[in-house]
Amino acid sequence: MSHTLACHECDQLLQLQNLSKGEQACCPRCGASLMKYRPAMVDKVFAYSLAGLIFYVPANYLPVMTFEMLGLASTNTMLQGVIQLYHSGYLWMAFLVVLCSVVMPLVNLFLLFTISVLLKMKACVSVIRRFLVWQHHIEEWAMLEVYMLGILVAYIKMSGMGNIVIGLGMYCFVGMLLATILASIRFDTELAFEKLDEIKSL
Amino acid sequence: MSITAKQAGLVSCHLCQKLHEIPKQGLPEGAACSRCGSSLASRIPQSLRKTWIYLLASIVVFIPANIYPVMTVITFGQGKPDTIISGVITLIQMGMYPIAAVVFVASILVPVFKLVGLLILLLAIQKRWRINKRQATVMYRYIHFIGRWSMLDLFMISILVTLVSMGGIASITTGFGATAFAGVVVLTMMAASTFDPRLIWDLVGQDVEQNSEDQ
Repeated sequence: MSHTLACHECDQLLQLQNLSKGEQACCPRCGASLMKYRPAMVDKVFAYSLAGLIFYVPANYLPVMTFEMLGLASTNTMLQGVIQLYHSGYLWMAFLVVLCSVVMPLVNLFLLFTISVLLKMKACVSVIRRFLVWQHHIEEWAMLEVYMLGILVAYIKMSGMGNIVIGLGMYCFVGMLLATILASIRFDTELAFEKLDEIKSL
Repeated sequence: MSITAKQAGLVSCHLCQKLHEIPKQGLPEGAACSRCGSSLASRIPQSLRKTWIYLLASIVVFIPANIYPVMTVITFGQGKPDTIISGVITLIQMGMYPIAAVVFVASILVPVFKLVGLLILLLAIQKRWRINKRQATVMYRYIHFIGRWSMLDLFMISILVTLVSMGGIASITTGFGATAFAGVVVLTMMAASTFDPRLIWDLVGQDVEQNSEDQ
């Protein structure tokens, strides 16, 4: 079975064959990645997004790092930094940081989880459709992997000034990050819409 | 031999990739994809104009982002404000070369590469330069992909302001430069997403000489 599609980066019309294990389809003209072989997409996205959601709460509320200097200590959770920025009057920065590191990662995980559950149940077609559109638009603004690098840079920068202890929140954050990345790698909007079409035609 | 969806009288949904036929009289006003409901257009409407606006705005904001301090580390009541560039220099002076390299790439190299790259793409399309289209598409793909990594500096600041808050002994405050830098990140991300890479390839049919050596 093959189907026609246009490359999303150069508009070339192409015939796409069914892929087998380990294969990936690329546009012959511009090299864009068109489709990957994704076995059991719904099941895997379900598992990874659920794992991510479980890690989400402790990652946000437990201390990520504790900084000790001259017998004094201060801890840091993901939300505290945003609150501090807000109180210092940097509204726009606080808004952007909370959006990209707290709100959008949660919305993204929630949408992926709901989409995979509903696709499995073959129910609520219109909800799936709406959530797929939303997920496509917000995905770019969930930046956990960049935040992880921010934690590493902050850690190394401050390790010269005092002693830094890694908190339980950090482990939960890494767990959430890995689960989110694995869910995003397995997920494909176009394939999800094809599964939606199959449900509709039942 | 090769034909684009537009030449074949088809339009591909930008979100779910479903192909639709374009009626003879052209796409009606407010045409929507039958599968996902997104608005249908062969190319992003007013793509070049929108990208120019976001790009010029980000170039303007880029100046205060580099002039004003982004962060001040105060220890025992003393500290000098750091701009993005002086922050990298401080890290080099402290001998933290790998981390200096990471911050340099994310905060200086990536924004400059994005601004210059988008400028080249826009000019190449409007002035009909003979560019290698495949390379131009690869460049666009990277610009789109690396944009988010510039948020690194802002996340780092938001971690540091609470991590190091010990009143008179040690504290970290942020500066106006960080707000401007946040503006640069958002504006360049918008510029990259309003740019339509298919416009690069629309030039193929119009050029007499094509770049076919890369096939």
